[in-house]
Amino acid sequence: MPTGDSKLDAFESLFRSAVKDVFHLAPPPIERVLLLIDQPPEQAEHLRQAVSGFLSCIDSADALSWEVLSAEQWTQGPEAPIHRAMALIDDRKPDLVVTRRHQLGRLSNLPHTLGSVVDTLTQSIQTPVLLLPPADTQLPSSTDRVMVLTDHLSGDDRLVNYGVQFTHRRGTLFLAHVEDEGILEYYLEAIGKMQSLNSEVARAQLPKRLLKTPADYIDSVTQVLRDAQVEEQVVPLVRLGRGVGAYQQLMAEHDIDLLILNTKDDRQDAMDAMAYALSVQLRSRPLLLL
Amino acid sequence: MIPVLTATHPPWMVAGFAVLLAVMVLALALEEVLHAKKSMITGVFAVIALFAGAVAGILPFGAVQLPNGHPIELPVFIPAIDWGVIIIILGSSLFIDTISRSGLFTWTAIKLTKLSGGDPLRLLVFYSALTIVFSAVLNNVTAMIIVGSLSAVSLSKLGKRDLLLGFLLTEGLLTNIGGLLTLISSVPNIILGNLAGIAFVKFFLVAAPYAVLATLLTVLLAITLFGIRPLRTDEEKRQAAERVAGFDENDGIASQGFFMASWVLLAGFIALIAMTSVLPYLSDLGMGFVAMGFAVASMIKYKSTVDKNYAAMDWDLLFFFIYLFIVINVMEHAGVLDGIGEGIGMLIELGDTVGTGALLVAAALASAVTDNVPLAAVLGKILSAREGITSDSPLWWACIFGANLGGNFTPIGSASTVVAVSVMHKHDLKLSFVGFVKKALPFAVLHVLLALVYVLFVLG
Repeated sequence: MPTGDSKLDAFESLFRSAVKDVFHLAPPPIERVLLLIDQPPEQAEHLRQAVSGFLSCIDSADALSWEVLSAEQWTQGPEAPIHRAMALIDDRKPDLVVTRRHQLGRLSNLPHTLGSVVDTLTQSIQTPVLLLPPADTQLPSSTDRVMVLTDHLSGDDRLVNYGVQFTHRRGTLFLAHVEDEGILEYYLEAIGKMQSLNSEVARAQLPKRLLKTPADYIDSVTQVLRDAQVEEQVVPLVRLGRGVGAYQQLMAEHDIDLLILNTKDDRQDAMDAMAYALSVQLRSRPLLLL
Repeated sequence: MIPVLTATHPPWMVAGFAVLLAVMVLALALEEVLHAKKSMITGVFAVIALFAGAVAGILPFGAVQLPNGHPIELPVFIPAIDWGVIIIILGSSLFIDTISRSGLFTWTAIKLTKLSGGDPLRLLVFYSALTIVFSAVLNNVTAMIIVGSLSAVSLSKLGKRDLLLGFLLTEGLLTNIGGLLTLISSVPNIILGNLAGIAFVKFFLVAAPYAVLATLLTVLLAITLFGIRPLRTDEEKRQAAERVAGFDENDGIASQGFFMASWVLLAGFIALIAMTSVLPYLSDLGMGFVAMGFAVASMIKYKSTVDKNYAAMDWDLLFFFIYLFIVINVMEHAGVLDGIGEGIGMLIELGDTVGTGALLVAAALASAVTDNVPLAAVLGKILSAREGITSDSPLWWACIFGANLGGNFTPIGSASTVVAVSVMHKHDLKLSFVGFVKKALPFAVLHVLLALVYVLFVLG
């Protein structure tokens, strides 16, 4: 029996592999919702009712406390509208902000942007933002098919718990993890140039290993939801893919009602690059930006 | 191995070969400093010893007679090797390595981790028991690798890395106690047990009471010295239980069928090894046959890739033994063992109690600073050559206990303590040679004192 470091490392790897992220069910409380819209009160109220139906999935949907900030409440006055909106959000401390891209009509002729208001909101506040599709696009009647989409699913309980909270009872929650094929190929090429590492083993096992971790985590989610008698159906979608295209393909394949994304990055204030790219490209579906 | 009839040689020649043996033993003790593998060290000395033996004219060149009376031409160093020992080590290593791929040992280790609920005190007790059992069934090095790596991962997961050094040290010391449990648990046991003619079951029945008591005292001492405390509050217990719940014991099981088959094979292996000496045909074929038979049976699962199983063997260890047996054989022909035997004879002649006790302590101290395998080989040769020493003699047990337990005094005293220190270094835990000796000394003294009492007053 080898006494060398290789054997030691092999057993440590086995045990590390056996340590798995376990999902903890703790759906976030959503009690106060703030609708920020650059429209008059009547239209804002009309929109609130539509969103209210859409959000009937939330456990406390019937008791939700709504605050509607229509155009006159935040777009008028000496202060810049975005500063006014931020101050109001800070004061009201909602659990969810609902809005649309291209508020105040700014940059609406540039479809591949979110607009300055949403841009600022997603980067400046910690509150989740529900980004509605444009006014000319029908809002789905409910959240029967929700997709949580990320490139790092394992252990992200917060993301999954929002998915659980925003999926309609007996609806389907797609947990999607896309491992970047381009980055993987880049590393495999580097390994292929290293004599001390077996490139064939790496090529055969690294993708499997990378996909196994999120797949195991999704198994844990399924088990925990089953134990908690949550009726939502969990569908795992774990695959290799390249960039936004892979995410769009997933969306197209499953005709979802709501997409949930992480947008915050610990290392920077700016919105996560992939989340931004998706947010500007996936305009026809509601997005929940965490 | 063919018995050696030694002739009287000039003292200068005996002294010359004795120096060669002493330098080899020293080189083995300084293995880490020399950056040389054990097999390389003994290989160099085997080549020198053989050549010097041929020049000195002390080697018995010529045909070897088979049991049926037929002579057979063999290189002089081939009969010098104890192939019975080599084949037991080869077969059992191959078998254990192959069934370990089923996930059997990791499954057991993780099950116990989860059973502990993440409580450090219970974890220490469970890992200690695991170390003893694995050392007995596998060997002390593999036991240390499995339990040591699991300790590192689980304590890290539990946020208790400050306890890792205490855990690793305790486990390292316990491998040498677990290594005492059966005839095949350690190489000194195989060598000395075979030479003494001690049966597997007898060996276990004699060693088990000591191993159990020594383990209990070791764990109690570790709890005291390393400050390992149970979790107190409900919140601590809940958090720890949640963390260990993340361990999946089934993760390493690629095939449920092979996993189950491995359990059956392991049980069969232990049962047949235990009964080899009393079963017809098997008693003639020996434990080596049983070990190789189970190795072949387990490798059927990997029939198309069996070369990988062979490649995973520790060839350094096997060649270390092969070269070592050659060196010892040359020393025997040169009369060096007779000289050492005289010294040991003086110890033995101190009387049943003092002599046996002195032999145990001397074996332990020698084993503390060098490899216990050459020590066991030399001691075994000397005891088996002395008249009137039966397999029941406490002298054999003094050698067995001394050779195994001496390894607990220093970090280089046994292969498993070397592994324990390797795990410490891998996890940035600084422990110098002197630091190890200071921490291990209370345990090692306790083990040797307990062994003295056991051998002298229970077995004596």
